[in-house]
Amino acid sequence: MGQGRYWRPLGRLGSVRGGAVLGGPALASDGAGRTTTVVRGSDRRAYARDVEGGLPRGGWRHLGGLLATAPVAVQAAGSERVDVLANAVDGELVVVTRTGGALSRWAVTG
Amino acid sequence: MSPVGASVRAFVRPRLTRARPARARPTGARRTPATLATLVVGAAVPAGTAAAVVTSAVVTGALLTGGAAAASDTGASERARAVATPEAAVPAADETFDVVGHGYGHGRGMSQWGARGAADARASLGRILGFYYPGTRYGVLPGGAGTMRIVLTNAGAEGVAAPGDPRQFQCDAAATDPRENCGFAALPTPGISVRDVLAGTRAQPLPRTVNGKPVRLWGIGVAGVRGLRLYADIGEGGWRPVGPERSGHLEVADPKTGSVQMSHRDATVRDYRGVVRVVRTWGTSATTIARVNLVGLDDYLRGVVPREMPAGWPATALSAQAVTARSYAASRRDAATAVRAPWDLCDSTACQVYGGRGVRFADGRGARLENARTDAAIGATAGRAVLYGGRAAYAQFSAANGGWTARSDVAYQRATPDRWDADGGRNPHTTWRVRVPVAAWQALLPAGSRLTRVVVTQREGTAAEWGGRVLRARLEGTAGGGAAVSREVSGEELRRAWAGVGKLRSSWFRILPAADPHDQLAALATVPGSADLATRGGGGHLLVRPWSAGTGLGAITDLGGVVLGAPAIAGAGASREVFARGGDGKLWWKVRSGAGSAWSGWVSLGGRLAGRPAATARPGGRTLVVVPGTDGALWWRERSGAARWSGWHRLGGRVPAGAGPALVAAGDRVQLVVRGADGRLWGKAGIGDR
Repeated sequence: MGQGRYWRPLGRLGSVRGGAVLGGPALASDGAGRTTTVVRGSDRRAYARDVEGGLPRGGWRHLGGLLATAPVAVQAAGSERVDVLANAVDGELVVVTRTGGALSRWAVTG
Repeated sequence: MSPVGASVRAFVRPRLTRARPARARPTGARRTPATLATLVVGAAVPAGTAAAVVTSAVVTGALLTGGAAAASDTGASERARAVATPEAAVPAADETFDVVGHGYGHGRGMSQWGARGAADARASLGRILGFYYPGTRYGVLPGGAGTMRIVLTNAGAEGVAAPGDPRQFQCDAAATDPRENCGFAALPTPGISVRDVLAGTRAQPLPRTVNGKPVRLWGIGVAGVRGLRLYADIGEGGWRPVGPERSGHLEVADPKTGSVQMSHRDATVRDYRGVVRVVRTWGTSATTIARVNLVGLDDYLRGVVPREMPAGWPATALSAQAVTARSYAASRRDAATAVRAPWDLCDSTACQVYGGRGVRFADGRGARLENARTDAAIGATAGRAVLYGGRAAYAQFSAANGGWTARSDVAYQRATPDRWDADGGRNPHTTWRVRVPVAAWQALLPAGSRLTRVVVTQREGTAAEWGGRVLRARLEGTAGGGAAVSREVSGEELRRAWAGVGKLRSSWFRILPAADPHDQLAALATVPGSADLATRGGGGHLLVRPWSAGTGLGAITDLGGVVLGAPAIAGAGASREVFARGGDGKLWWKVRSGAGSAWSGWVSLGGRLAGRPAATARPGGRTLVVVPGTDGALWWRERSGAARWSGWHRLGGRVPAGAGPALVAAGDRVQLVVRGADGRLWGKAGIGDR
């Protein structure tokens, strides 16, 4: 993620397992300079990558799932919790939560 | 009728045309609140539409789970009448409508597949006829079989040249009105004769030769203002007139063969039992001729039944087909006689398909069109018909009714479940799903219009799925100049606009809500583990619904409109703003200032969008929105204060068509990520910084 007004590459799609991104990306922010980009790979699974201070932190992390739509990511200011929601291939709206380094299981939203 | 025995034309997907994307020309904000309807086309939205759409929407995603309700079942097929059931649908991103339906044909009277299913279930002929024509009686046709008058429309007759201007009397192969066909030609069979009906002359045998040369074809073309003239093709490069001008009503026959072998323009020869009358008619053109086959009723049926139903089907089904075809023909004859029409029936699917006794193609191959099994069915039921009020019943039939017969104003055409129609799962028309090109229905609007929405406004109102067949619908769109256009059409008009196997087979269908293949949701974080979600629901409405990890999904708020693609949602505290691409390609905005406040009307923010918008609130009460323009670049504009919008600013970049960015405020800076035209993810920060 660029810190300035210039376009910066966030990473080749090929580096995302699945080979490419389907649909648009999603962004979440903790409000303190750390953002998380979430995409759906061509294998229909979700991947996330953090950017902090303008620099990617680690590679793409596999979040799993089997998604029918591109995900959305939500994170409240000041919180470590990132919720990723999308429609699963069976039509259900499902969610996975990452808190710090821990990742929950995918669950159907009630 | 829709013959189940007719050949199936290969389905060729028409080439879709897309509107050429206009160059992005974002304009200054229009602050004038717009009505809900102007979000898309400026057309009026019937009262109650929004609620109806929400409650009848097919669930496209779990966001709507629990918000959709199935259509109520009245439980009585005859109790319910046609009902208004507004269901709106917008095209999918691939410029098609996703349509699921049942049956093939109008569904009135006997289902041909149902007759087969009944025969397979060992139902008797009387039971089959009683079910499909309730309140009628199967009995002897009053007045006997008699003669049918069938106007022949097959491919147009051989064009007959006339002295002076040979082109004048050439047939129009594309003509669909038989009166537009303009000639007649027949093979010189051994006993061929011609009789002037109006002049009352006897049949005059035609010679084998003219001017010492053998006749290859006999023809009849127009002469004078109202007359006809005989022509002969003797192989001298054209048609030679034979004899004087005659009246406008000639009859060709061959007592030796009992049939007339008509030569058609495509060089096929069809053999018709009985005689053929050539009648000068006066319609839109002075050069029209109708060819009317006078044939005994059961001889006519020998050319109909195997065209309408495969001859290999069970004998009881063939008998049912013979009786219904006889009844239908006799009732149409009664109606034609009452109004002194020049013929009783046509020979196409618009009536009953009639092919005559046989056909010989240009390459010499021939085919007998009558069949021993169907002949047997006709013979076994000879002289008997479905009767109502002592006369032949209007015994309509169609290929398949999908499991429910269709009602009409005719007393014995009622809506009722039909368990025979599926034929134990063998009927391929019970349920089908197709993608209807927007262009197919768009053609029903004025030329140059763009179809943006289809609203089904009335169905039969039966207990059948979705309330039965579509009776009325409204097509909405925009004209070339941007003005709203709409047109009321019938369900049958929608079907005929793209009819056939592999296309729309009946008017009993439902347009499924369009779903973007990838982008559907937008979300705004509220507190940890909670968010407000936004999506496009059934009918294209924008729906907002809260979600919490603790309590799950909350109630849906329907914000109306008809939006294309996924929306964007932003807000701070209890304020909320939604953004969406409207049917006009512009960005539209709706805002709610607080938790207890009402949502504003839709306001156009202009621009020309190629994909979904993204938006985020930022400190100072500002809101930034970024959209992909039709020029392939990203554009942004910002609100400060209640409704003070900046102009559009070009952010640059190159994004593929349909792609949308993601946007988030990180402190006082805004971060953006988008999939670039090169397939990479690109990020940018500091957008709109002051």
